[in-house]
Amino acid sequence: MRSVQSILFLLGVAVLVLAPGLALLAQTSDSPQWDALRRNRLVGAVINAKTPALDAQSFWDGQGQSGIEPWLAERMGAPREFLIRVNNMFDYWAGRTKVPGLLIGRDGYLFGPPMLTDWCLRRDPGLSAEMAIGLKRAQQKLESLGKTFVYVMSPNKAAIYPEYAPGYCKPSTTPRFHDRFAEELTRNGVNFVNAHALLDAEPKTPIMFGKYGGHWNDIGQFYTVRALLALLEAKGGRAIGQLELRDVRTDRKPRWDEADAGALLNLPYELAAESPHARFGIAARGKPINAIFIGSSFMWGPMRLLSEQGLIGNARLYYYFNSTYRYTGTSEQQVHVPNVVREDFGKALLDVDYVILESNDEWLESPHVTNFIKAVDSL
Amino acid sequence: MPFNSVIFIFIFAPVVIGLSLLFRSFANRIILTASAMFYAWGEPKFVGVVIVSAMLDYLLAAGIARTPNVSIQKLLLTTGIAANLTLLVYCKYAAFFVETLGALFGASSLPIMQILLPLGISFIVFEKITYLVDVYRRTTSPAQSIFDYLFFVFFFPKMLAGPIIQYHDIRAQIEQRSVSLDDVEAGATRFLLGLAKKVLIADTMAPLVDKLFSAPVAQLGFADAWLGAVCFTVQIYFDFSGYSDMAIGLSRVLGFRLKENFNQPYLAIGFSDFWQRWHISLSSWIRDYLYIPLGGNHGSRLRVTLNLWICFLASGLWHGASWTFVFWGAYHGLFVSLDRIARERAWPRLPSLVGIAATFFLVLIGWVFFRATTISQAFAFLGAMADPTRVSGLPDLWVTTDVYILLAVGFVLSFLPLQQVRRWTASLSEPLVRATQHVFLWAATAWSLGHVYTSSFQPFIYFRF
Repeated sequence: MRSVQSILFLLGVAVLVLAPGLALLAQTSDSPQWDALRRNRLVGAVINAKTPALDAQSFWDGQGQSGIEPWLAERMGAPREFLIRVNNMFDYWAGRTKVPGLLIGRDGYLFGPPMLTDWCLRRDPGLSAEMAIGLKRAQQKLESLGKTFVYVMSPNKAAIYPEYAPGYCKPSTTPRFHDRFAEELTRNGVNFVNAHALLDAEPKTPIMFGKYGGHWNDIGQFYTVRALLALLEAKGGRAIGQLELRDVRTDRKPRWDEADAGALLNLPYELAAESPHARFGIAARGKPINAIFIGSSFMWGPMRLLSEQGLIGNARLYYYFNSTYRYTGTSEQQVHVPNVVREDFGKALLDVDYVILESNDEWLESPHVTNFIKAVDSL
Repeated sequence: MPFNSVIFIFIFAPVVIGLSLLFRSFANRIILTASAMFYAWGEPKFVGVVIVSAMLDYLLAAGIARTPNVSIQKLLLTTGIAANLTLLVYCKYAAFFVETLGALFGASSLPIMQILLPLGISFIVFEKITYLVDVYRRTTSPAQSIFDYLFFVFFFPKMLAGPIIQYHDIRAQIEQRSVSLDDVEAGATRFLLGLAKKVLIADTMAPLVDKLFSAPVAQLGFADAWLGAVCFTVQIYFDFSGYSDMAIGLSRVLGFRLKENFNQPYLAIGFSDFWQRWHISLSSWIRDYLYIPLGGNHGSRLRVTLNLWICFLASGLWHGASWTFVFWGAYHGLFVSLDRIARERAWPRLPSLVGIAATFFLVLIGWVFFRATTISQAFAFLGAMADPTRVSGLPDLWVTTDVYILLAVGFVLSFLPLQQVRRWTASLSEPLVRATQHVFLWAATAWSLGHVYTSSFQPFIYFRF
């Protein structure tokens, strides 16, 4: 009996230890029968090690040895994936994750470190006045060209749901950078939508951020997009449409980025939490807008919403002012256009009536904001 | 190539173990070749120095054994020890001595020496010295061949961080040994337990400890400082004993039985007891090769105390070329000296728990000197630990739940009375106990192996000693 147990245990250990090596060997074969061993379905960024130098000099100076470890690890396929997922599961149960860019809050809520840095540490990059003046200048310049400009401050999950922030997060009463910046924007007369203030004023059920999401869900986007459309109508002087929340159906099947942070955790099982899915409608529909949007990943959801509701005609999203996505009616027609944004911006501006800039509370001073201001200055 | 690296666990170890089990008659050659490659992987520039130096030992030991002339024996022994110590002093202490001289005499023009500290140098040199001394003392006869001696020096499981072995302990096993299924199971179990101790507990403490010991001391609150000291106390034990477990386990799988290096040191009552439980192979080395030659317990109380202090100062310096280690050695020397009185008058009169708690507290204080970068930082750190009114000035000190959980696990495992637990489990159904152990160990192994992939590399604390 004892030997059988011992053999079973040793076999179990042997499988764990030998399988990665077998997967490594399988990489050298083209046979499809090894596909299952070779595959790697980890979500998100993984290391992308360069092929290590394998010559005497690199061995002598140690570069070869340090380069080969990540290179080999990356090629250990499904066994590596299995072990990483098991590790992540135990880690998650213990309240930690080694996945860069994720922190675990109360009740398993997921946050990004910048969210908690902003909320818990009350960081202040000290740029509020300078940035507000820059945006005011950009707004005036765009208005002189006949364009309506609106700035959107998208919300920080930790600031909306501080009750789920980790126990070590003990924010002081010092105002956040967001608060100082909002004051400066108001003082300078910049058109802006303060999504934090909007979401904070609404009931917290249905939720506005998925428990395992790094971005806002349908509900969080709704309040903001509704306010944005209202402001665009008021400043642009023509009807676009009033966004209405017609129906909310809550299930445990998150869509898109409602559980993107959870997916990045790469657990052996899927994290499922309450996910409200909304059905929207448009009242007092006007004409779709031709617009340029500049923003962060928080703009993907609103762009999808606007597109699905037929509220945008010819539009572009300059993602972090680095790359361009073109929208021509519905989300299915979204096309990534590689180009140099600053060169494209001047030309694209001729075809649009609206310019919408967005940055997130956790990083309001993101370089795309200053790059945008510089681009407008140079028009 | 640390034991907790992808290349060691998934490639090197399976290949070497597999080949040595499959081709038993060539096992020594396989292990020796693998050991040399293992060391060359981390120290390609130094492997030749170790080989040449080992050959010198081999020749000197052969000379000691062959000559009947005691004076020549002594001369050969002195030459061998001096050569080994010169290597150690040059690689590890030259820069420290130059800096100290510069500071003492204000000689700022002294050259700053930048010498790469070879991995495991302190362990290698101490083991090489034991061979020479043992041959001189006739504790053992010289190695049968240079390959046997190189095997002893390079044997990879113990090469980088011990346990420090003595040639006479391993000689018979090099020449003849067998590997049973029990050996493989016990060895694998021991290695995996060590891996779990290292990557799951010690490495969890490491980032927090690093942060707290690198923070400006003025910003440390009372709780911060205690947290740092307690976490380091757990980290260093689980890091080092985990490494020893891995070394002992690997050796066992290859058919070698190494002596234990730790025996629940935080259950010690008094410092003498502590040093019989902590890094036992170093304590034994110092006792056999330094303390006894100095006179040991013979002589006046003053003389014995002096011997102890010399040993502990040497032990401190062995751990690192820094005054913090020297101070730590002196600190332990002081309490071991006092312990000679306490063993007779204090410990027997106190409940065991009080003795354990008092010793643990003093050991913990000692670790602050060990971990701090300067003695003044250590005292400032202790100042923060002594002042309950100190408030933290580190708002970004984010201690995650896992640290508390694994700290608690570390404490439980440190203080668990293992003998009583073993007695208790012996009364239960053996198959059930073993099955439960296997399931837990398998799960911990999967967790640890996954951790090896995901965690950034953290060198073992003892690699540079």
